Amino acid sequence: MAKEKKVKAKGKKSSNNKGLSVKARLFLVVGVLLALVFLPTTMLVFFGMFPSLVAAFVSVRGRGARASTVTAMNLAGCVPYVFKLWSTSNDFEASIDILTSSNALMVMYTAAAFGYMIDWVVTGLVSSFLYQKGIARMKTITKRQEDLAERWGDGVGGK
Amino acid sequence: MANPQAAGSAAQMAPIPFGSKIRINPAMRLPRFDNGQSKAYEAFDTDNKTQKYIAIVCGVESLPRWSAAALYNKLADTSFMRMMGSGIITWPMDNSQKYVFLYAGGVGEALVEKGGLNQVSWRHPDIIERFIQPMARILKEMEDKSFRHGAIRASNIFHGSIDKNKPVILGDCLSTQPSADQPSIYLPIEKSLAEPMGRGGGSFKDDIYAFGVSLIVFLRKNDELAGVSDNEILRRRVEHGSYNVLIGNERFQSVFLEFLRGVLHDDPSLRWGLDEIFSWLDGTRMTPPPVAKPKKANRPLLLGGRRYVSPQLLALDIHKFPHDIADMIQNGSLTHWIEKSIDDSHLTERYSKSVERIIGAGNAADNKDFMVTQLRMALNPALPIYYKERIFSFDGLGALLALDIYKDQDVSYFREVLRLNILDQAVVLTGVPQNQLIVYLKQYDVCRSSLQNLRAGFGVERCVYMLCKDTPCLSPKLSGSFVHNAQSALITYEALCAKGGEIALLLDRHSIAFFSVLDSTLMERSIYDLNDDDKSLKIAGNLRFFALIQQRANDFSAPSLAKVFADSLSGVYKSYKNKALQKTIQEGVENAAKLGDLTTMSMILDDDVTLKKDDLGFRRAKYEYYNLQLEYNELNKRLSNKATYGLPNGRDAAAIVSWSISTLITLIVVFAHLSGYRMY
Repeated sequence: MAKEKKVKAKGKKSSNNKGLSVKARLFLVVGVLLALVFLPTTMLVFFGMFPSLVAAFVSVRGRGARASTVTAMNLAGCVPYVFKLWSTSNDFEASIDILTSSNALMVMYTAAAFGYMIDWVVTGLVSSFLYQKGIARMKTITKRQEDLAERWGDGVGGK
Repeated sequence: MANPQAAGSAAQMAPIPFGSKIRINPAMRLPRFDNGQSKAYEAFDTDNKTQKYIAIVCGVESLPRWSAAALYNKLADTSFMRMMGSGIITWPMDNSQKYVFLYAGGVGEALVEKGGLNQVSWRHPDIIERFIQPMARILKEMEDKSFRHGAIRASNIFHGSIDKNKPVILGDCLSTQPSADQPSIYLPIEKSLAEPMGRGGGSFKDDIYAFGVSLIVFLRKNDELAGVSDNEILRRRVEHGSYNVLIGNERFQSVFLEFLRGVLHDDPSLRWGLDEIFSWLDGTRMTPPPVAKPKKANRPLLLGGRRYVSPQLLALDIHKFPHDIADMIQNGSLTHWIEKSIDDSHLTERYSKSVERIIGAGNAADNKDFMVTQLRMALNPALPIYYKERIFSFDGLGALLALDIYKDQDVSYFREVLRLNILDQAVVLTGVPQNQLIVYLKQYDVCRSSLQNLRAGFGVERCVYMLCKDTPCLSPKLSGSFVHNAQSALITYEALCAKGGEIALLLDRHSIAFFSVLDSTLMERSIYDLNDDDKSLKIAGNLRFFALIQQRANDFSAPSLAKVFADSLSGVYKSYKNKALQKTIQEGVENAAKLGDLTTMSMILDDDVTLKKDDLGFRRAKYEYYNLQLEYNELNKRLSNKATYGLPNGRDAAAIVSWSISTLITLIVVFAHLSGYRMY
């Protein structure tokens, strides 16, 4: 077991050293190429999705779910402007126009903020629900143990 | 033992019922039928009061031969006293239980009263026809049925009729152990001087010897041995032979002398048997073997101011001079006397071996009891065993031990006798037949291993019941009772419980050993529980045993016994884990207890199927409880930090919600865009 763990850890270490996998590299290359091809859109999305980048950056390991929540809503805020860009000249200037209009950035960043709000509310609700469920399960367990002790005596609990 | 407060005058006592129709009259003693401490009383039939019986009432101290009663009943000859029944009664004189043998009355007067002389003047043919022939027939039947009488003596042989002209009737022999009440002269040398209870069952040849002495007592016109001590008579018998001593100067018809010389021979192997007796009765002229006189030394041994010329006589007195004898062994003078003065290679060999054993057991001077025993056996193997002032035969130790335990006396000598292999040596020297020898030696081995075992059912308690089959249960709890079989045990314990104050741990070491020996099947299902340290298991073992004896006793109802158990079973119910089942079982047991049904009580408690189901259910419940506890602990640990509990799940849910809304918005925007609607 310990050996296996060691081997796994070694594997991880070696993959980190090597950097990205071939598939990821391919995606990266394709992405970079697309970003260069659709440079106005890329610029719009880069600045519009800035809160998501921040969220992804600050989210500690294993808590990517919050960044995902923020990204989803941030993206929803960006989509209309991407369409607006595409429906106009779809050039560099149009992209700067959209970004410089206070309305567009406000909508995109507000959407991201809304994502934070969803994260806060839903997480709170769900964790609270799960907590109560856990408490209820503990009560059920205690009751069942009492029933067993009543039926079979204290010896059933190894006392 | 018995309750002296309840004792009363026999004359004031009402007749005591024995069975449904017989009544024993304690006011009407029949002393001529007494046998040792067993006393005889008149009994009568309630339907016909002229029908008289002889009831011989025996206490535990007499060790009556209840185990031989069935065999006695099979003896068909009319010259045996006819037994009408036997069993237990409660004797109001001391309020204790006694064993009673009931015989048909009308057996007439004793042939010769104790200490008296014959009053009838039969002629030679009458003596043959009325005395010798019936006795020979009796002896024949006893030999055929392997029955040992042990109480043949002139005072216990009866005329059989008032006019004294009928064949004799031989009296009771069951009311005490064989030979226990025999005067010393009726016993062969090897049993003389042994303690009454230590004389042992002996052999059939002992009865022939006693018959011969009875004939002398009947024929003699005066008692030359009156006033002579038993010890002196034995000394003379050893020196001159029993025949010569008992005949003395009495003048008998020569035909009887021939017979008497044959049946009174001191060597059992040369003593007449039934073939010779019947040949003699048929008129065949017989030549009895000559009386063997002990070899004499060519120079006497001086000891205690007395001159001993025969090793047999020295053996009789050796216990009086242990220090002198020890010195003589150490300085070699005794060895020299035996080897040089007596020309007897067997004696020399026996002596050498005994000296080896004495030296092997330690310094002779420090181990005088063992030395005396060994030398006595070597010098005269026919004598009973002498150890620490106890004198007994190799087959009489059981009864002696039983009496000592009954009287609450020290029995440490018994352990030593077994440990030192004294019995084994004695039985080998006595020259019993090989098949019997093996039985005896095996019995002693079993006793030795039993003494090593500390568990109930073993130890000295087991030995006493093994070595003397007639010993009733000697449990202190049963003091004043005569428990000899399952039925009497149940009745006695029921009576004890009815008095109150008893607890369910009724069986003690004595009763466990007694019933283990009486019938091993009675104990085999209970013995392990009875030896357990757990009190409830012991109680369950007690109940199981009493349930079994209730079955053997034809389901005799025992409500008091059942109540004692029912009140003590709370711990036993706990062997069932299921509380509801415990309650059901308790109700069942209590209902059975009200009916005095121990068998059902035991069956309910010992139902293997229910026990197994209960055990399986308990194990499953225990497993479930354990797993629940693990889950509880895990939950408790996780819920202890409320702030972080469920956060990953919550964030996952939030992501799902967020992506759902995002997708919806995107779709709306796409549709709006495609439909030409511009929201900006």
